[in-house]
Amino acid sequence: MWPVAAITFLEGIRSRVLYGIFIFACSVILLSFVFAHFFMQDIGKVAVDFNLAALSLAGLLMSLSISVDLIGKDLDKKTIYFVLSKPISRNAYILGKYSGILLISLMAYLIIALLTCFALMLLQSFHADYFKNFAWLPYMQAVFLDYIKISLFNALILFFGSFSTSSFLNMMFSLCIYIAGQSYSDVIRFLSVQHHGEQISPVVHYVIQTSKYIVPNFELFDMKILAAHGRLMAFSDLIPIMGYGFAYIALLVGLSMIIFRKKEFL
Amino acid sequence: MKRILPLGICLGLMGMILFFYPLSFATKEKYLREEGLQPTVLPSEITGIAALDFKGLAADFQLLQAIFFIGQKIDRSEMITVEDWQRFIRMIHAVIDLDPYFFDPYYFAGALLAWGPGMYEDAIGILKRALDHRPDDAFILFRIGFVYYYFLNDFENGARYIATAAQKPNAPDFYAPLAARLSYYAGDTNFSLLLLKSMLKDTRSPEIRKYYEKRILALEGMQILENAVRRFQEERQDSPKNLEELVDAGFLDSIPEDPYGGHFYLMPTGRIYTTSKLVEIKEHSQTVLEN
Repeated sequence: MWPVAAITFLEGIRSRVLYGIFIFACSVILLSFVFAHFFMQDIGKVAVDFNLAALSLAGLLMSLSISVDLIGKDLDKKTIYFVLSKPISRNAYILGKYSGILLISLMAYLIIALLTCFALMLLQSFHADYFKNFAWLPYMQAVFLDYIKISLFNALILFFGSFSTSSFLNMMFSLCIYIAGQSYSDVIRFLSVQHHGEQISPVVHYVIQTSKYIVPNFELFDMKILAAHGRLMAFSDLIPIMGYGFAYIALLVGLSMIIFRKKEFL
Repeated sequence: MKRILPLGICLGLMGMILFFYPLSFATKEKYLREEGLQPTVLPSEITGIAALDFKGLAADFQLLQAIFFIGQKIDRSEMITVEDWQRFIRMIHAVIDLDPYFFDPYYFAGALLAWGPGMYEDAIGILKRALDHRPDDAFILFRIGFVYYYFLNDFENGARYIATAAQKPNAPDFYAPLAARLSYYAGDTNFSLLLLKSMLKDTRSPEIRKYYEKRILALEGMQILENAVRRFQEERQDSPKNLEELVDAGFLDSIPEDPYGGHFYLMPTGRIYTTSKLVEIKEHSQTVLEN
């Protein structure tokens, strides 16, 4: 498993897209310096919004480009025959791929998080009076939960990659599920409010209610608003969220291994 | 020569871009203004879903849109209609729905609606929404108390909110004595000046600072006049008939100017007021025209 993980990691960091994503993240971080000046009092909140958005967007872009590519590459270029001819089991191959991707995301998250910390420290020194609600612990908590979210998203990409025949399809499926997973709680809230007597179709209700048991709820890992206001989530409240994330990751990686084991390469 | 030519062409094209950009931007702005196009206010149910996990960032941009929408009109001295203010209120509510802990929408709208169009109930409504999410925010409670006291002459509610603000952690020390003196000094110019100066200290927004500074200037003029009336009464055991009498008797060098464009006058009660009613003369006539 580890040789596959190491090769995946090395392949990932050699990708030029990664540098593009870093430049993008740095641009968003720099934008926080400009936009913070447009606000009157809650400058700390706006700075945290921008920096966490830079981190989260970079994670998403990385998954949608590098992870999708790394998973699909072996099948597209037929190098899978070469890999599987070595004494590596199919399960070890899937686990190795996922571990390699997790390592790349971890490295990227650590670097971008460090940059955002530096930017926030600078902004805090310029506007100390307007950073009263800011606290590092909630900020780090939001970064950590975002990393779990991106690990779950990568597990989803791995799952689709295990049976999808094209990288583009994998990307589209994963993106659709991500959008659904981020927004269905809002849709449920929206539907629960009566809208001027308009009746919502029972089919729509049924589909949305069912989707919450099938589609992973990515919104649970979003602590950006709380972090922006310096609000720390109790550790006891973190446990169920982390448990949900790890269980979903394990399920998706397990399913990927089962599907990949049964896959026939022609 | 082979190297200089492409470089020259590039520099020339960059020059063209720099020349045409401001012109085309101004043209586009002109057309947008002529068409009367207003920023769209999407309900928070839609923006909340569309923003995915970037709701905080969406709230920041929506607030910026609201600030620019009303700020541009103020800067250009354009007429701000009741519909414009209603649109502004809808934008602020959408921002609060996206991020109810965000301080700036409460702060900006609460001050601007009270000082600008005099929509005191709307200002209080927005400020009170903050109490659900920022219950320990002494500043918000103080602002609610201020609007009640200063604009609505509701001294009881004014004192109640400022007294509640004084009990909150991190409340400035002067809130408690202020609340205690509020009912006693109801309508007192010196007291209003004290309140306004304390609020100016905490204000960073240039638009809102302008409102405060102008009002402080007007109240300082009224304070000078009231002090002169008091000295006149003490020395002559009589009240002056008008403000000119104070100048003639040497209690004043001249009558201060009202920064709102009106004229100060002496009321039968001995208090000073102004023909502008402390509203910009142009704005005042516009409001009358609209009504």
